[in-house]
Amino acid sequence: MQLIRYIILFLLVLAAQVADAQALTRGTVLDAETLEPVIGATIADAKLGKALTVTQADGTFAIPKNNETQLRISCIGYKALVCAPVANGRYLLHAEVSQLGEVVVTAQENRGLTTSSRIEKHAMEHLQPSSFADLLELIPGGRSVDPSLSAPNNIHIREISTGNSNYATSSLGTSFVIDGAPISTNANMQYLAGAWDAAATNRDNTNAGVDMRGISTDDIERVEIVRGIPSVEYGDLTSGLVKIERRRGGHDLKFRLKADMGSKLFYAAKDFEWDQRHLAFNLSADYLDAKADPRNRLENYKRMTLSGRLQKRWEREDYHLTFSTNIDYTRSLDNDKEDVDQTYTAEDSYKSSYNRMALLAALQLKTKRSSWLKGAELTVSTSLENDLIERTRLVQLSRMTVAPLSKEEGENDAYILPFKYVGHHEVEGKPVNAFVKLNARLQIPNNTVSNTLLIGTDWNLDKNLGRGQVFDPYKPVYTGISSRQRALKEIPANHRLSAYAEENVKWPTAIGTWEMTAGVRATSMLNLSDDYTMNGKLYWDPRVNIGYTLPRLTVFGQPTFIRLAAGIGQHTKMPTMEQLFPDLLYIDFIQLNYYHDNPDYRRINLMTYIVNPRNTALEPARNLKKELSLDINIGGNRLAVTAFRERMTSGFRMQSYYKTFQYKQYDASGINAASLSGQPNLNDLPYTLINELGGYGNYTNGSMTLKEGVEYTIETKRFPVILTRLTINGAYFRTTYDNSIVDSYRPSQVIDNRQIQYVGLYANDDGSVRESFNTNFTLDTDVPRLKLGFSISAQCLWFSTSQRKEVSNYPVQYIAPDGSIHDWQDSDADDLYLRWLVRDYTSSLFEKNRVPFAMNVNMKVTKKLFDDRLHIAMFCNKLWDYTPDYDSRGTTIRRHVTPYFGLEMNIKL
Amino acid sequence: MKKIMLNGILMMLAITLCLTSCKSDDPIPVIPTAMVTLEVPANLENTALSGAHATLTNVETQQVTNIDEAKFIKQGSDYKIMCNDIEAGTYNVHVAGHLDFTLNGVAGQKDFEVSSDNVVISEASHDLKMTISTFTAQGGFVISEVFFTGTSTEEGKSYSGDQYIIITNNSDVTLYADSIAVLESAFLTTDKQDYTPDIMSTHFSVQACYMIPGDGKSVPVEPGQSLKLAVNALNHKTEQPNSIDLSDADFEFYDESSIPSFTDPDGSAPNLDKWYCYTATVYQFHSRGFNAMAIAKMQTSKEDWLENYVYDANYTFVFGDFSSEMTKRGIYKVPNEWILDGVNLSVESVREWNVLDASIDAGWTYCGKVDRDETRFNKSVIRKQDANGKYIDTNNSTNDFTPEAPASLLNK
Repeated sequence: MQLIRYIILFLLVLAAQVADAQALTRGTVLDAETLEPVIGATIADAKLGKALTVTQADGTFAIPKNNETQLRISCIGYKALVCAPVANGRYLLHAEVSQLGEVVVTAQENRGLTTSSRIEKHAMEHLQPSSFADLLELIPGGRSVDPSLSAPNNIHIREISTGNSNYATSSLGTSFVIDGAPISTNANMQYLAGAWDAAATNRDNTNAGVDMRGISTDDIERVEIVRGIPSVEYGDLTSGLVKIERRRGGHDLKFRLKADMGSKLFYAAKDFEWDQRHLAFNLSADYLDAKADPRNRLENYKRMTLSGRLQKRWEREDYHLTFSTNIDYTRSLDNDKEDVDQTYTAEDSYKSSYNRMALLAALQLKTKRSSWLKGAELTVSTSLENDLIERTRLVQLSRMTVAPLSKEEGENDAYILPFKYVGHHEVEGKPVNAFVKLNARLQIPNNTVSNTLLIGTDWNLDKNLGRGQVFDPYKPVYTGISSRQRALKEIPANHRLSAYAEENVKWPTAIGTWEMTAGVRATSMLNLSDDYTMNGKLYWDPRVNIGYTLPRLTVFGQPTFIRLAAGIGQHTKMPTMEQLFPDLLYIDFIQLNYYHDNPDYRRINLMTYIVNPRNTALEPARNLKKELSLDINIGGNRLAVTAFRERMTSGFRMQSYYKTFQYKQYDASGINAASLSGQPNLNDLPYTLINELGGYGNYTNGSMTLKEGVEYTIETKRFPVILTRLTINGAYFRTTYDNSIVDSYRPSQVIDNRQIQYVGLYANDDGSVRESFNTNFTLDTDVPRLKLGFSISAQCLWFSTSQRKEVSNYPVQYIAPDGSIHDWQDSDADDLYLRWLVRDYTSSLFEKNRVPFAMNVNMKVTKKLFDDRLHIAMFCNKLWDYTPDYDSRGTTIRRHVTPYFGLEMNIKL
Repeated sequence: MKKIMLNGILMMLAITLCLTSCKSDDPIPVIPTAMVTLEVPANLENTALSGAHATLTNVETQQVTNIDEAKFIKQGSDYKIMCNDIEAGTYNVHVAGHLDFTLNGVAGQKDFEVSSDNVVISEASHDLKMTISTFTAQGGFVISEVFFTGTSTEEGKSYSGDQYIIITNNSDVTLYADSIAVLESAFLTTDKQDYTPDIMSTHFSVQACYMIPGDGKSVPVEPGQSLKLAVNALNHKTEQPNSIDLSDADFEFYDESSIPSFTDPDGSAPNLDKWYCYTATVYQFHSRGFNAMAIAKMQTSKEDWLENYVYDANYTFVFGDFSSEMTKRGIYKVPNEWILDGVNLSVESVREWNVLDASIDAGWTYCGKVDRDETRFNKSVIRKQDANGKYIDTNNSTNDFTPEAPASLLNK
């Protein structure tokens, strides 16, 4: 195994760490306000003006011992410091633009090379979210949307989603990492097979990634939403990364009570911290109860989370060792029941429960000695889920309906269902995930560049121990179900092994500072049989971000910093368990459909075929991101603009295929119903052999998603007198969806007693282009004297467009019942049967649809009372709106906006 | 030619005889060619007389002259009966026979007898006119009931397998129901679009066409009698006690399918010939009644209709903030002249227009006043009857139908 060899090499490098000992003066350069290390600061001899060295990733430096020199420590963005060297000294640099005491209630563009948005605790307190989904309003391109908690909430970064499940790779490929442990959804197989009803299908979240409803926000200290190119440390993603860090330590006892138009939330937490012992412990719990409609108690979503987090740090002279462990439990429940009084159907209900227990243990080492090894990290996380969907329905059939039962291929008699029964269908999933990550930060001593080499490996396992679809085949809830029961534990476990290396360089020069993060990640799927294309294959994700910061300028008398950055990176998301190992499909054909007044004499004979829809040629979805960004900071007023282009041509999609099946069509017309003494005997019946096209679905890499756009953020300083800060952020997005796989379609029309026997094959179907351009103007005022904060956000959507990709109405080819494929001829459009293969798209369907300007104004207020012990907040979204009517092809379209309110109370004891 | 010659000779002989007799006793003139014109109701076409027989009974002498079928000569749609050498006098005339015809394109037949007493046949008046007045052949097949809502189970769920439509021979002649098709409109009465071309004044656009099979005279329907066409011709009561026994239905909408999810039980009633249907799933009527239903006499072959009676319509579709030019491809059409009867069904709260030409139905009828009205179950639309039990057909279903009437076959 190639990959294993890399890992062994990496371990050898780790083991070969030797500390060097010389006569050196060491020091650490820190930001005076945040006490965070200042990386890449130049340490120079103040007298000679000669650069001696630069600070490393942990802010440290080492210079030859010389007590005579004066040091000049400088770094772009900081005021230079001149002082005498002190052994093991801490040198505090003051930022040119002070951010001290600043309360930021918006998302901030990250100052690092990676394009990302940072959302801090203050912003969340001001926003008053119910779940993580509400935070996305803050990132460029986001707008406030009413919480919709009765269906899964998926993330769509840099995308105008269509909601089409064939383009869900973008949300599937966004990784959520909580305290270092990714949430795996790869073994999620919670879907009701055969379901057609909205109660079930609207809540299906398979292959769509993380359901953000389940992530509570109250424990979160900081979120970083990486929209650009993340470090190679993070894998199994295509579109983005959400890094969540939760609170550790503190001494508070906290309560939060929130109510809005659709939900109620209660949160309690107790924080413990023993400063001397460097020990922290946090306990918290929250409960959310949301209703789709406040008048309907029967359709609701409930969430309960419990969290315990312990951290212990050992501070030694040579190293700091931090051990963190978390235990988290999340339970959520989707309920949808019929009102017994209204419909008499007492039995009808849908219930989906999600129980997740997650454990994390992380060991973090930071060395303080000047060695190659700067730090190492070992993270082990595991999660166990117990998910159960229960669907109960009183089934009352309107006509004789059958349940195919045979698990074998061949002829068999179907079971004729009773007309009335209570069907119960369960889906039991027990996804198990284990994740181990080991990495080390190395540093090659160098006096001109600050550098860190990150090397690491991770291994991920997904397995589902559930029973899967469980139902009584004699009482199916969904009568047309084409799958038979299969225990999920029979599916082999998904193993994924990765290794990565990344070099981080910061090089301060006279003409500016150069920065680079360049790395590569290799991933392979293990435990796949030989016939899979992915078997034994390594997928390489090279990722590079480069930045250049101009020397300090002065504009309008203000210190000004300008940085240009560019990045390119490959990202790979492995297929999920369901995509790799879908259920076998049972395709049944009726050979005889004989009805008799005597139920015992009825007979429905089937021919059953088994199709394995497993696509062994399936490969991972890969997204290539490119971006350019500009960051200008003039005296603390900041403009950040990023232009990006992300092209993913191998997104997962379900595609239908047809093939020919043969069955006997028995002629029952000769049966004398009166003379029967039992079911008709098949041997006595004449039959004809029929060829019929049967369709089945199969996962492919046919979906393309092309994301292009520009994101921008302007943050001003807080204007002194009015105590107000203006944030302008927004984005222009253009998302192109396309399908590279030939689509097939069989018309449903019946001509002369038989469904049309032909299947049309169409090229490049299902594409569309969507655009949107928005700007949010947020004015937030913080009056410390009154302990009052309020913000007004005018969220403008300048326009949005959608346009379907023009496709031909005519198939390129068609399949005849015998399976033969024919090229489409123009004359076929007049054929009695083939004419139905011509689809009815008109040119106006491919015209661009443009929705003009719309603006919503949101207001939020927070007030602290009783020595900050009580904190009251309220929000009103869409308090005022400007959504003018507009004309679309001669029709006036009217738009309506309904405000959304909420109120909350935080108590800190 | 020969016949004319023979007639000529006979006539000459008769004249000779006549002249001879005149010379002798009291002269009773003999009318050489008296003519009885048998008038057939004007709305009948393609009339064919069979087993016809006429008797002229002389009131004075009680002498009976029999005239057989050969003497009935078709003239236009009427018949002339030649009575040669009749003595002038007063007669009772009686004509009987069997008439085959088409009425509005529908084959029909009727036995008739007409009598006319004390008719004077003289030299001056030897052309009689007799009108077949024992039947008027007014009306024809009508839709007398559409039960499209289905029944409700004890648990309040809907059961739609027991839908049916009844067509009744509302005339006083026997009509053949062969090749009459049940049609369901392609357009919804709840979704008005400006379809181009707009063919409604000449054709009915359909999405389902199920025809009563036969060789032309296989399915006679006596005057006032009905045909029950059931979506499933079964005794539904065995499975759903609140439902209907439709095992005695005359025909069944049977959908042959090889897909187990679309199993349609094939009851003992003969199946309608499924010329066309928009869906390969199991056919049933729109259970809220959003379509128009019609019956038409298909006046061409299945092959010809499937090949040539299809068109595409364009319209502008508006939904929310989206509007688009659309094409509805492959709509089958039936000329309005073929249509015997039709009825627009809709629901008041969502109704937008009529999808049948006003000459067929200027009104509309319903079960349920609001969309998804659960009180609509077990109800149907039934055509009103006049004092004589005839169904009222003014081509306006608002007047002609009783909406929300209890289904006539329910609880029987």
